[in-house]
Amino acid sequence: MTQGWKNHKILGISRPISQFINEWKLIFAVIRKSPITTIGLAIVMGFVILGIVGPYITPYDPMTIGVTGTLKRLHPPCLEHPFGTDEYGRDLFSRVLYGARISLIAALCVMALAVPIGIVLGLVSGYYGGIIDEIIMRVTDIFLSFPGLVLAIAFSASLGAGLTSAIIALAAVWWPGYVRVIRAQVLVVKEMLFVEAAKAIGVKTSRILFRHILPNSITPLLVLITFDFGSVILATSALSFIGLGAQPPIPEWGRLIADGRKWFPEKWWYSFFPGLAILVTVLGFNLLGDGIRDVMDPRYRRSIEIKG
Amino acid sequence: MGDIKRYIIRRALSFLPTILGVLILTFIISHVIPADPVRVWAGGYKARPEIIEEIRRKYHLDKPLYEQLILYLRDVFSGDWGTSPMSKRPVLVDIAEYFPATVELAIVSSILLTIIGIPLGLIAALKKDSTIDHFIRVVALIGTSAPAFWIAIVLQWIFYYYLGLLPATGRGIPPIIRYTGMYVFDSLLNGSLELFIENLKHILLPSITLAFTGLGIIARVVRNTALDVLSSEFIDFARARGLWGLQLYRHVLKNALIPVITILALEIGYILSGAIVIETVFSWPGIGLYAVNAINSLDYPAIMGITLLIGLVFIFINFVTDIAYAIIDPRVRL
Repeated sequence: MTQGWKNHKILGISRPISQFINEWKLIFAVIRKSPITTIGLAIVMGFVILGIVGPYITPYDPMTIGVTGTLKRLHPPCLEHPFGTDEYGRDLFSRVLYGARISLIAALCVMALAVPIGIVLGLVSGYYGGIIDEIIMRVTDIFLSFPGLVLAIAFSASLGAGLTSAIIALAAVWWPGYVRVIRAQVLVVKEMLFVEAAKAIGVKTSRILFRHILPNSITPLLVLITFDFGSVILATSALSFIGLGAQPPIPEWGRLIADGRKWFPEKWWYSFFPGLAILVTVLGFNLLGDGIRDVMDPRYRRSIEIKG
Repeated sequence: MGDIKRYIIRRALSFLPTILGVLILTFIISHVIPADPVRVWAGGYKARPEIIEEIRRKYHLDKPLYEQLILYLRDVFSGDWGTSPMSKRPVLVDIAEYFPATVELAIVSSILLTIIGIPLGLIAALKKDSTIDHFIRVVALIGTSAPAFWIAIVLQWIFYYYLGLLPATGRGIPPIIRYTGMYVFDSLLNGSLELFIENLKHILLPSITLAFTGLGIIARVVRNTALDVLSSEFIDFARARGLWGLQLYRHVLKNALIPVITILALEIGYILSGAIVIETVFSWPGIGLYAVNAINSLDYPAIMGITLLIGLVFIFINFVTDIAYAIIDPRVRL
C-alpha cells in the first residue's frame, strides 16, 4: 500500500479515494506506534468529550452562588471538592469542567472563521499569482508584522470586552498563517501533471482548486490546525486573564486564574487548577500536532515503513 | 563592505510599505472597526457629552474616513500619539517611561533563552532518541503549552511564598544615576554590585517565566538543525580529518546559526507579547502593566499606542535579522 502512495507522489497522478484512505490508515498506524502521540490524541479526545458533556455532569451548579453552603467559601481541595471552592462557595471542579466547553467553543469558532478565509485566499493567491498574489501577500505581511496576541488585544479592545469580541479578534489575527501554508502547497501542487491534465481538458478553475489542489494540501493544513487549536485556547485564556475575553460569571479558564489571583498565595488552588487544565489541554494538542508532523516527515515515515 | 551598505539601504526601503501598512492597520482597528469610535476613544459610555465633543475634534472623528487617515498618519509621524485619559499625559511620554522596563525584561529573557535553549537543543540532538532527549522535549513542550501568566503565578508561589528565595513583585531599587532606564544595567554602570544583585533578583522570576515559555521552539529548532548539520557531508569530512569535541561543534554551531537567528527574532516577538500578560502578575512597571491598566480603565489611546509601538519594534527586529543574515551568509546579499 505504501508503494502505491509513493508512486502517486513521483508521477504526480491524482490519487483515487482508496489511496487517500490508505494514507489515513498509515497516519493512525504511526500514531499508534508512538506512545507520546497516543497520549496527545487521548487528551484531545478527552477534552472534546468533556467540552460536549461537561456541563451535564458537573457535581455542583457551576454558576449559582453559595451552592455548596456558606461555610464552604474558599475551601481547600478535599474529596468532595477536588479543586476546592471559590469565594462565593462555588465548586471549582464544576467550574473548570464547565470551562472546557467555553474553550472548545471559542477555539472551534476561531477556526471556523479563520481557516476558510485562509484557504480561499491561499488558493487564489497561489494559483493565480501576479498582482492578486502580491496584494494578498502584502496584507498577510502586515498582519504578521505584529505578535499575534498584541494584535488580538487591539482588535478585542476595539470591539469591546466579551467572549464574542475575543473570538472575532483571534480569527482576525489567525487567518494569515493559513494563507501562507495553503499558498506554499498550491505552488507545488499546481505544477503537477494531473493539474495540467485537468486544465487541458477544460475543468473549471473552481473545481481544480477545490477538488484537485486543496485535497493535496490537506496534510500540512491538518498539522497547523492541530497546533493552532492549542494556541487559540492559550490566547483566549490570555485575553480573558487581562480582562478582555470572557466576563464573570463565565468560568473561562484564564478568567478563573485572574479571579484566583486575588487570593494568592494562601488559596493556591483557585488559580492552580484552571491553569493545569489549560496546560494539559494545550499539551494534548501540541503532542498530537508533533505526532502528525512526524508522520508527514518523509524521513521519519520511511523508518516506520521499514520497521513495520 | 560596500555591498553590505547597499543591502541595508535596499532592505530598509523595502520595509517602508510594511510600516505604512502597519499604520493603516492600526488606523482601521482604531477608527473603522469600533461601532462608535468616539465613545471608544472617550473611554466608554460613561463619558460626559463635552468630553465626547472634545475627543471628536481631537481625533478628527467628525471628518470623512480618508481625511481621518491622512490626519492620523500626520499625527503619528509628528509624535502625537494621543493623550491618555488615565494619566492625562501624551501616550508617547507614558511609553517612554514604561518601555525601558519591558526592554530590560526582554533582553534578560532572551539571554536566558539563548544560554539555556541552545545547549538543550544540542544535547537533545547529540543524545537523539535517548531518555534525556525525550525529557528535554517534554519539559520544553510544557513551557510551550502552559499559559505564561500561570507559570508566573506558580513560580511566585514556589520561589517567593514557599521557599522565600526571590521577591515576587516590583523592579527593585532605582540606581542613583539613570543611564538607560534599565535598573540591572544602570546599577552596574553606577558601580554598585549590591544594587545589581538586588535588582537581578527582582528580574529573575519574570524573565525565567518568559524564557521558559519560549524554550520549546528554540530547543526544537536547534535540535533539528544540529541533526541536519551532523548528518551532512562536510561534518563527515571534518570527522575524517580527525576533528572532534569542541572543534567539531564549532562547525555545527556556525552552520546552525541562521535558523537559530530566525527563531530568536520570532521569540522576541513572543517575549514582548508574553510581557504584556505577565508584567501584571509581577507588578513589573513596563508597557505590559501599562497596557493592562489601560484596558481595565478603557484608556483607548494608550492601547493603540502600545499596539503601534510593538508593531514597529517587531518590524525593526525583522530588519536587524535580515542584516544579520547578510553578514553571516554572503549569498543573501545578492
